[in-house]
Amino acid sequence: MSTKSVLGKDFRNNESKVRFKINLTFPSVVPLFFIVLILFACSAPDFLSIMNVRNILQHSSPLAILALGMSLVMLTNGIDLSAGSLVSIVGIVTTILLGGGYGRDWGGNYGVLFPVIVGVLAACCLGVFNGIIISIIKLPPFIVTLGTMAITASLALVLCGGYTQYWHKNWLNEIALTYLLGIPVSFFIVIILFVIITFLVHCTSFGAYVYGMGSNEEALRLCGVKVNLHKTIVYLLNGFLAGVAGIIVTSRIASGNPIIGVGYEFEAIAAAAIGGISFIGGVGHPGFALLAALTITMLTNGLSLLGFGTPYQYCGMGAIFVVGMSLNRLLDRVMSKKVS
Amino acid sequence: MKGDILLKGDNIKKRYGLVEALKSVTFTLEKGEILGLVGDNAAGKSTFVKMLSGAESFDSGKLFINGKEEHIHNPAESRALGIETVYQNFALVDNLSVYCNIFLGRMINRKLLGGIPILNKRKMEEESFKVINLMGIEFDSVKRKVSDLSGGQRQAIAIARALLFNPRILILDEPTSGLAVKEVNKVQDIILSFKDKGISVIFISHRLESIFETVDRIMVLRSGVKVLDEYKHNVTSGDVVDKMFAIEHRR
Repeated sequence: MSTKSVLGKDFRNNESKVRFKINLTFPSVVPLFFIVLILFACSAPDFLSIMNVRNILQHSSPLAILALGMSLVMLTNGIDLSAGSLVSIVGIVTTILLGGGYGRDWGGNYGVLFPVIVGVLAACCLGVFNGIIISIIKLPPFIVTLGTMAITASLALVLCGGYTQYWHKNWLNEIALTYLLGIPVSFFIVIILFVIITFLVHCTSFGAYVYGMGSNEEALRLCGVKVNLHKTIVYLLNGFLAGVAGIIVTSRIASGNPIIGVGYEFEAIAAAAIGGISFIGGVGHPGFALLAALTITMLTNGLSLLGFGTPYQYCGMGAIFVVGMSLNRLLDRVMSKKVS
Repeated sequence: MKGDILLKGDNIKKRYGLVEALKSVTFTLEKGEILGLVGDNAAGKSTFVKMLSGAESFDSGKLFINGKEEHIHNPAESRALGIETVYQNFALVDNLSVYCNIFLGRMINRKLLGGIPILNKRKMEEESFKVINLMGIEFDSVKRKVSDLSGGQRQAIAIARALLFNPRILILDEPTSGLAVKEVNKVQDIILSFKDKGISVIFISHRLESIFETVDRIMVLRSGVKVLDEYKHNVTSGDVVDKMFAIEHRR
């Protein structure tokens, strides 16, 4: 095909200019990451020690995976408040099937893989439930996932009788404790999931429709796109990712704790938002949400090394959320002025 | 002009609650014909468009394409029958590129590692550029986001999307609204060029001037009823206005 238009303009030359303009935008998490890194590297002893870096990677893994899922959901102009509860229920279901105590053993020897798969499937089912109610009944995602959060949290407590469930040592414990090339296996799982999600959003029609849903859902519908199906798949994926995060958390604490997921949904939403995913959908890249998850974990870890306890860490998390969002807004203004 | 009937609607009815949007409307569209559809607000034009484009289903009546009865339940089925629609608001996704918008709902894939379907972006870019060029519209890049485009460029993208898949019937819902005079003339030229390609067009517009300059036949809807269906050389713009606003009844 000729690269000359009817008006004699060169198509390919213009393409490169446009690409340059589009690539100018980046969210606040990039400077924030380096600010937090430098700040604690200078102030907290051992912050950059190999052991602590491994610790940060290990602890950031569940949040990073949840942030990837939350990014997908938020790109469609949705939100998932039940993500934390899904983490809890996955742990409980898996632990009970592994033979957890307190009379909640569901009998039989299921091995390890089967309980893990059932745990993840439980999260997938709850994700599909969210997706169906949101896309077909057309209820706002906030309302639906708020309900699912309450139901799931309650179910987790009922299933375990309110007690933490333990199991006999098996290879599931190793996921959180094993290192490959000096990097925690759980972080390798994050990288694999990140590659898959990036591939999905940038190289497939599904990805284009995910971004499209956040901008003009009606246009997609009028063009024959099965919006309900795609939205349900997004919530299914989010459920799956919450399931994987739940397995990693369960592996790390070597037990099923019915309230372990509390607060994860807030952190995942914060990571996605600081990572530049718009609350009204259609804008952002899940990769930056992953970087934001790492930044949040570095912040809590650094504060902990400096002797600040959980209340201060929550305060720090809140502060980074507000600062990150403000910076995003400012960067948006600056970039849009430059482009125009 | 009398030709083969491509599209025929027989006693089409549509009701929204207590409101009858279309009351037993019967119509025809010939091959290569440009039919102008006019009417005041709430005349039933939008319902008519939604019904043919598959955005809504009609309550009763029959629809025939090339003499065969067809049922349209969704936009995908409408497109599969060769009906393309350019909506008044263009139905474009602002945050996606021009080529993604042109291929919305019909993305071209290629196989990765023998089986995994991935977007064939290069092919879509080239096809998009080709169809935009064919329309003779000034355009620098198909990678540009739609949010960066002017009203006229958006209109061009919406029409290009409809043209790319060789439609049999093209529905243009107010394609000239919000455009400058120069752009209106350009769109009218494009519509007239469809006739040469054998595409049948249903052209909806408030601008009677555009209608008379472009169409072969004019159909007027008023409160969901077809009140006029005449070749344009048999009517004047005064006749059309009279029918649109029921002025004859008041006289």
